[in-house]
Amino acid sequence: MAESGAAARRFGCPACGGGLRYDIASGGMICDRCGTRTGMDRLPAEPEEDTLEVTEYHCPQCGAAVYSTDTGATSFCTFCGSDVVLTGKLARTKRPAMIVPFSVTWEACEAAYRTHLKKYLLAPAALKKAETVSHFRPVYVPFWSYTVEARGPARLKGKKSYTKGNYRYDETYDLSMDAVLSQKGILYDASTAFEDETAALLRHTSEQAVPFHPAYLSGFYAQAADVPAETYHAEAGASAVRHFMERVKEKKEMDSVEMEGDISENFGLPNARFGEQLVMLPVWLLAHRQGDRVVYTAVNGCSGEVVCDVPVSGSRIAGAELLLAAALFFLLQMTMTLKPELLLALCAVLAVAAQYLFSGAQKRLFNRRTRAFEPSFGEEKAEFAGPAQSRLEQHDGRLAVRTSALENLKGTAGTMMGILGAILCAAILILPDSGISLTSASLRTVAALILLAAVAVMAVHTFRRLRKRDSGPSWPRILSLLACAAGLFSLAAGQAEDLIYYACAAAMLAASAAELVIINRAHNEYASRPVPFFGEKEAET
Amino acid sequence: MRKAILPALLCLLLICTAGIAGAENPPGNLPIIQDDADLLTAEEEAALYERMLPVCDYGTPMFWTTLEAGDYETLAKNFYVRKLGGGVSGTVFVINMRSRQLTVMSDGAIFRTVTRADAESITDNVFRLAGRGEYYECAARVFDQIAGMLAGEKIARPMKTASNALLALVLALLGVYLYISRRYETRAKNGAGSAAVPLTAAAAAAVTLVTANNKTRLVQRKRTEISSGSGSGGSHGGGFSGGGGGGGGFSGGGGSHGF
Ligand SMILES: [Zn+2]
Ligand SMILES: [Zn+2]
Repeated sequence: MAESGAAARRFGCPACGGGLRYDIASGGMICDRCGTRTGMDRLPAEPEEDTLEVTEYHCPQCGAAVYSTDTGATSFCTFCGSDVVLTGKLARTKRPAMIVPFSVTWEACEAAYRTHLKKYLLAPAALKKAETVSHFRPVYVPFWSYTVEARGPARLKGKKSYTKGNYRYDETYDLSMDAVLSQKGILYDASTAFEDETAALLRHTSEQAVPFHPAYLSGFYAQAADVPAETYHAEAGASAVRHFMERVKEKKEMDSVEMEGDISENFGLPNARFGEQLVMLPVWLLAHRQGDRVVYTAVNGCSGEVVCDVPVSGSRIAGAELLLAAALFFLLQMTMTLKPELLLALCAVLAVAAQYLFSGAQKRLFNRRTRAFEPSFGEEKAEFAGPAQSRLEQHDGRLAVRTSALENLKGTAGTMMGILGAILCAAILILPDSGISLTSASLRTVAALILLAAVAVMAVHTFRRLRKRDSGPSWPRILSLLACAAGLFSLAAGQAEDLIYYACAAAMLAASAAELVIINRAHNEYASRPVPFFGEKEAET
Repeated sequence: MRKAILPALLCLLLICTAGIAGAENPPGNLPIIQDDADLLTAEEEAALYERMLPVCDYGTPMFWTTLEAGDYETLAKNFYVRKLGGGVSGTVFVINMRSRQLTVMSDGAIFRTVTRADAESITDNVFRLAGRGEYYECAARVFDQIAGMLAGEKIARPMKTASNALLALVLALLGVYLYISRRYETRAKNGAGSAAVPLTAAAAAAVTLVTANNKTRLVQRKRTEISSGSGSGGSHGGGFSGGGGGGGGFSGGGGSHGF
């Protein structure tokens, strides 16, 4: 226990010489042996070194590493959720510049978590068990806090449109200014073990940051900063530009002229000066094992904000589905008698909606699996690489990759909105003012043709998607498209046997049901992560 | 926006309800058979007459076959009004050989029992007979069903039950999916509008911006006359009173089926 002695010597109790640890409630150091409290300002000054001596703990199960400045044995891994004694060894790590100390105690964290889970009736009971909740660990997550400074003349185009009298005016402007921009505190998660998406949702700020002192880590864990500072330069720059543009827009000289193009084109961002500091931010972490998956919960150690994807219990979700189906069935039986033609049209609308949701769910699942939006993680998204988006990509090629992934998402959403719009029009067309009847054959044909066109667009979209890796199983989509095409074609042609209508409607509904069941069951995969293997990460890549 | 569209779709599926109340009239009358399209033999007409009698306790049952062109539901309505007048309790079953549609129209007391939806179910159950040319059996079964309904029986709707069950299942799955994916899954918001910024972990704490020599120089002004859109709507769509002409106070309804 040589390390233990070293740590105790470092932050010794002035009264009894016992080990001190940081106490969240009082915001100072406390001695567990005699209860003496010591303010942070009365600790001995630490040498301002580049590195920091710490005890590094490794999980024998998953290889994850956390460090601390004390040596209390820990018996639970916050990465893989295993109940194992972590083995510690002395190590040196990069010394953070600032730290935001925990202000949310374990009790407050537990209360926030329990309140949060109350909203989730379909969650498995195991998530709420006291034993699960007791595994929350206070972890400091390293963030890069960037400062971006740029100065120089900026020129860009502007435009303004307005109507006056019977005329519409379109004006083009040349904008120019000498600008000095300085932006501080742009935070990006510097630990690969911590997902950027979670980091963003925790909405940390560095407002309460104080100069780092190793004593803050006493009794706490910290993740290592393993993401180079340059990784997020492009993002930080883009964020600075965005804020810059917003500020410029507010200026009264702008006279509501809209700026066109990217100001970074000529406003020296490639030459911007980046400053960065390592800041430790407080997060209560919980890893809950569910078979070979881990469900993570993160609680902001400053604001108490809870971030987690809540898995659902299989029996509860099935129960909810059946209950809702039964209620809807009785409602439909009492209120609706659909002619087969109308049933077919409505089923086509439903089928297209189901395809749209299916497509979106598969894509989100893929992005979650590959952490597609993280510059610090993997190269999986290289296939998304699209045309050049801005000069910023010279700074970091991966930005363009992610930008085009975002554009893809937006494009898909736009197409889908169009399709749904067309379908709604068709549906409204075939619902006359009074009651439900498709009296006019030509009206029915028109409606069917509009729907058929929507399905054709959907089909093109589907076949494009099917070639991508993120598309999920293809048979429900193809069945659904075939049923839609057959049904709507016979509807447009008119006078088909009702049995054909009913069969097509049943096929559409079956395919839609299959798609929805698949994505409902995929929720638990979205809400959890595979058990991590940090030890073999190098070998894998 | 997506959030708004999907519930709207669900609502659309549930709006579909129909029902219009009819007027009062005394019961008691004799069946009317007018076989303009000449589909039945004399014996069949006599037999059908017998099968229509049970309906007479509630109103006037009528059977009409026709070759007339036009909207088959309007034709049926007009026939009804010609024979009985609007609001009088009765029911007519029309086989329109021109448009190949079966229509059941009712009004008055009968319409309160045999609603539009029921009429559709009734024609739905017999259209195959008409398709095979078994017009007598088809008409007879229509009046059997109407008489049955008036006597308090329910008509069989196997297709309706099956399709409603599937529809309910899909709607339930859809509802649960929308609920779970929106409420149980976290999604980081990407910087809206600015494509190049995926995830900013936190809002920037401090921004300083100094600009000098801000100049906005007008380079070009284009003036376009706004075309007045030729009135854009305005005058038409003034209301569809009457619904098809010559309805003459008919306040009932019915349902049809192609064959
Ligand atoms: Zn002490
Ligand atoms: Zn582990």
